[in-house]
Amino acid sequence: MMHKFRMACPDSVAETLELLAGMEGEIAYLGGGTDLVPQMQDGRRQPDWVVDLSQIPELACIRFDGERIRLGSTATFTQIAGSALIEEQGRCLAQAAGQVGSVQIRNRATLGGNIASASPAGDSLPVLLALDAKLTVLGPAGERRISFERFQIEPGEGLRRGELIAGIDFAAGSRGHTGDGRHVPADKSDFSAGGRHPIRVSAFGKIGSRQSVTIAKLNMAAFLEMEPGEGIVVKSRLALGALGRHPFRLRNVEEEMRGRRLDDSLIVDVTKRLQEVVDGAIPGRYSQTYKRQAIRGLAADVFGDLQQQVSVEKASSSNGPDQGGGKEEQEIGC
Amino acid sequence: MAVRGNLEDSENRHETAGPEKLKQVGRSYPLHDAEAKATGRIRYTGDMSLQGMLCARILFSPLPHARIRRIDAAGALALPGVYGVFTHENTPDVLYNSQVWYAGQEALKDERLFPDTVRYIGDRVAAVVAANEQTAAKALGLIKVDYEELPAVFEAEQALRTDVPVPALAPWASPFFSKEISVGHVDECFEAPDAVVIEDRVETPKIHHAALEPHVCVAYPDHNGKITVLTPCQILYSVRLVVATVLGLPFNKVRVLKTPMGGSFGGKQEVTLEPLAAFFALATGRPVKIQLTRHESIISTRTRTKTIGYVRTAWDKAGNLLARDLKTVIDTGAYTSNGAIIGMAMGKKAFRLYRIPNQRYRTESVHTNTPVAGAARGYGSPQIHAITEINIDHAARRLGIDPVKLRLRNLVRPGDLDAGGGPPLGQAQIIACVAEGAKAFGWAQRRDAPHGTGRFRRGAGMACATHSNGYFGGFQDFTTMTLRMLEDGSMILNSGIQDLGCGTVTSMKQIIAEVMAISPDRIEAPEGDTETSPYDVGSQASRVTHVAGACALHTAGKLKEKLCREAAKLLECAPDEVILQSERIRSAAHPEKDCSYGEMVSLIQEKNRTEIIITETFQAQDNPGSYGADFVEVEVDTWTGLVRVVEVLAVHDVGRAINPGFVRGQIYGGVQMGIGYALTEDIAVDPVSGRAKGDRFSRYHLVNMPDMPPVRVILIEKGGDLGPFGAKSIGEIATCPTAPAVVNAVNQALGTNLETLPLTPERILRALACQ
Ligand SMILES: Cc1cc2nc3c(=O)[nH]c(=O)nc-3n(C[C@H](O)[C@H](O)[C@H](O)COP(=O)(O)OP(=O)(O)OC[C@H]3O[C@@H](n4cnc5c(N)ncnc54)[C@H](O)[C@@H]3O)c2cc1C
Repeated sequence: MMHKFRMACPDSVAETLELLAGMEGEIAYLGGGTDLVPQMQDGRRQPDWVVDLSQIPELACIRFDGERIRLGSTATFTQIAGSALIEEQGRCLAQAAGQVGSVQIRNRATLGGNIASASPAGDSLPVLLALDAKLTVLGPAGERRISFERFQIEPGEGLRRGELIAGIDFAAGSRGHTGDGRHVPADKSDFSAGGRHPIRVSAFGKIGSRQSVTIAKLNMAAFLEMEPGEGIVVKSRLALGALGRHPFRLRNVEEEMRGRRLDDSLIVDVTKRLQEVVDGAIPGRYSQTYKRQAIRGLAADVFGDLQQQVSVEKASSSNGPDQGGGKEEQEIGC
Repeated sequence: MAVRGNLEDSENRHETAGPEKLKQVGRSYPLHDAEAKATGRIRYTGDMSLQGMLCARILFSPLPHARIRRIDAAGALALPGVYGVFTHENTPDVLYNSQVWYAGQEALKDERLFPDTVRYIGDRVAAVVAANEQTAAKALGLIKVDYEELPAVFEAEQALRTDVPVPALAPWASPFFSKEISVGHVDECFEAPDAVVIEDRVETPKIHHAALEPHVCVAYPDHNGKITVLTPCQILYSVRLVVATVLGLPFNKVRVLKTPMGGSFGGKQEVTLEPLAAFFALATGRPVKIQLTRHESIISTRTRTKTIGYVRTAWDKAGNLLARDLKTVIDTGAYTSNGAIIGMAMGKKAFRLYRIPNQRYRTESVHTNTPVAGAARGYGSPQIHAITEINIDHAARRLGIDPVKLRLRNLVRPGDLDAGGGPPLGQAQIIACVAEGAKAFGWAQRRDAPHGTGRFRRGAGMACATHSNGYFGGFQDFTTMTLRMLEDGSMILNSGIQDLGCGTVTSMKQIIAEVMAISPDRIEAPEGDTETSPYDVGSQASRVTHVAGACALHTAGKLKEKLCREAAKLLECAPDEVILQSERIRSAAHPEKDCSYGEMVSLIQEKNRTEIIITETFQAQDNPGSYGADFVEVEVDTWTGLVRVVEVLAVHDVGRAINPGFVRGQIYGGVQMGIGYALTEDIAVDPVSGRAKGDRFSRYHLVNMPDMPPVRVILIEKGGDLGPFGAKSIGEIATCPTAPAVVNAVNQALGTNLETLPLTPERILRALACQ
């Protein structure tokens, strides 16, 4: 029942940009089609051109360049969820990817499509905030790099006509790497606590109406950097989704967490603050009552996961830092 | 296709072996079309394309109640490729009821092809018939409708209020149907000073059947004024009846063919798209297909009734159920459909599960401006059992008696009569179900295990249910079949059967094969065709295996007699000396003169000048209860309100499993539907706007595979009733005990008395907050 449209299947980014010049009317990029195809089927979207990005190898890779983890926009959630590199360097992204839709959906759905669709409940979005990810956007006017947070909220910074998301990158987050991706050998750490490297952990959680194939009623991602000795939070990024048009960072809460230990009393305090955030985000909405209660479960899941990771990291950090990547086996499609 | 018996067949089956050793009955052959379905070779109605076929799309009302002032179809008609636009102005105004299944059946008729006043969001305003779907869809957007909005009512109890004016929905006031069944002295029992009285108000939701295949239909005319309708339905002869009535055609000018079923669960047990497709085909002279989207199927076809149940029980301290007072308020939506008889179907079940000397059942049915309710797996049984079984557990809590013990004390026993005056219960084996189930489930240990005090709490619950085996005792129930053996020994069964994917075709073959000493592979059993097949009531009322299966058995028996009689003439022996074995035939006296069935049938034709064919009508003569008990363990997340069903054990008294694989399949699916009914499924009509919130699968949550618990099945097969080899129904009862068992388990885990289904996380947290 779809209306008529024209389709292009370029093999490279360069070819895509060339083709763009000759296209008139509305252009829609096709990733996995899990959002676009149903929308075209029921007529909500009627693009004149559909440009398939799935045949462009350079957009499908997942790699580590020594500093940052770089994902092509057409990396599928199956690839991301199964990537040892992502699991190691940005665990919350692997977790979120593994909870998108069903196996069949994950086999097709792409990270770029999730970003461009910009659903309030999109599962990768709070993750990209927690990882402070940057996007590479290409279009008729050339290339621009922009933080995902600005891309999301600033007027005019979203996708413009003909623009496509080419890549997503974030600082490698495993132990043994600094927040900005520089490798820090254990003995030269600039952290005072026994000269040991910081611990970085991240986690994602989601509450839907069932275990899987469910749109989030709430989702949350957290990234923590901890000083290893006393387990003090040095830095954190916390983001909540499905509470308004876009997921958002909780900078106040992040600030309050700084300098505290990741113990149960912190979780209790954070939970209280999260409930206030819910109240502030959707006051008077029917779902407010439920979400303010359920966020307690979500916080327990996410912070419980972080606590567990920290204890595992602590146990293994006495054996010296991991050497990062294991590059060859972990990279996909490059 | 190779057919194999299932190795597991002997497991978990409690049989009282009959005297005969069965060869075909009791084996798990696959569905006759399983391979074609799995490989994609089957052609569902949606796959069918006929030469010159047009597509129809329907414009559904966006308003819950409105008079149509004017419809301007000019824009749509001007679009190239549009063959017709149909509205209340150019279609028959014949009123019909979509659920009648026999000519002369009394029912309120309030539906027509296109009404001039739309009564719910999803009612039919107009349709476009065009060369293709795309054009039809585009044309729909060009139809301009001028509505005069009318006040609407969305809640059944609102419709019943007498203190405020309620909008007149139909020519009938609310309730449009009410009835009472009463035995004994109910009021006196509640007044007795030492009676423990337990009172509940249980609410069950409108749900969607969620068959994989949305509603679809194809119709085509021929050069002689005959209309053929291809439809995946459960009720061929109802389709013929309604289509002929609406179009004003003789019955023999309407031919209805059953197409492969892509799922129904009662959703295709009513006449919905067929008269439209038939009318459009007649009007355009072309084949016409109508295929709904999921969203359209949810809002515009049929749902399960929303039901509010008020239940009061009176008990003595020992746990004897002295009396029960039940009342149901049934929200049938905007049109009557089965709104009257479903209330009675519910009530009848209430007299067939426990021995209750004093019981009153009252029911009131009302119209609301919401999607139309109708048949849905269990036909009221899941509703009434949710109401009554939640109350039994509530009583168990208050009396301090274990729910299994309380039930065992009060359940009916084999040979009991129906206190409400219905047919005898037959070999009602519910006590065996509960006793065997409690043992196998480890009920006592699970029930007594600590619930936990932290975030996650565990609980165990169970519930019982009963269901019918046909219409005997209520309506006429009979089937006619014609069975033939051909000159090569293969066979054809000609009947009106309609396989809903439950295995009717294969089951009939197994029954015939058992009698005829032949392989089921050698039998063709096509589904019904109203032009050539004998009459059948339909695949409804859990009647098919019990009644149509019995017809197959009797017909095969008669055919065997005839074969033996004719063969005896040629073998020069008495008919009872003829031996049929492994598709070969001989006389006892001369076993060496043995020939194949085919050779014998050919000889009979040549020498005796006759055919091996029998037509037999079978009338149902009993309607025993089928019984089932589900045992469930759940884990509740008290912080998010999410429930995980940890395990289910389903124990069913099926009399005899003709095909145990099919029986288990029905139970697994029934449990899946039951868990959804208890926890997640709800069309959820907004009480302010009348719009269904659960009008698509992203907002209507079925229980999917990751959420499915392990399901264990035990079959109780003690036979004894008049079904073939003692078989009783399973398709509907499979889903009846599940929802209350889940609810009871949640209530045990939390110490709550939740009684509004589904138990959404929101409702669970609210109940916990009130503790
Ligand atoms: C059954 C089901 C379950 C789902 N469950 C979830 C879930 O649990 N969580 C969740 O977050 N989402 C879920 N979704 C939504 C969807 O799968 C995701 O949003 C997915 O990531 C979309 O990616 P895609 O590659 O399929 O996008 P497409 O459908 O191909 O595209 C979506 C949009 O993005 C644009 N686009 C695609 N790629 C690019 C690009 N590189 N640059 C610019 N624009 C682009 C398209 O033009 C279109 O507008 C579900 C969808 C379905 C059907």
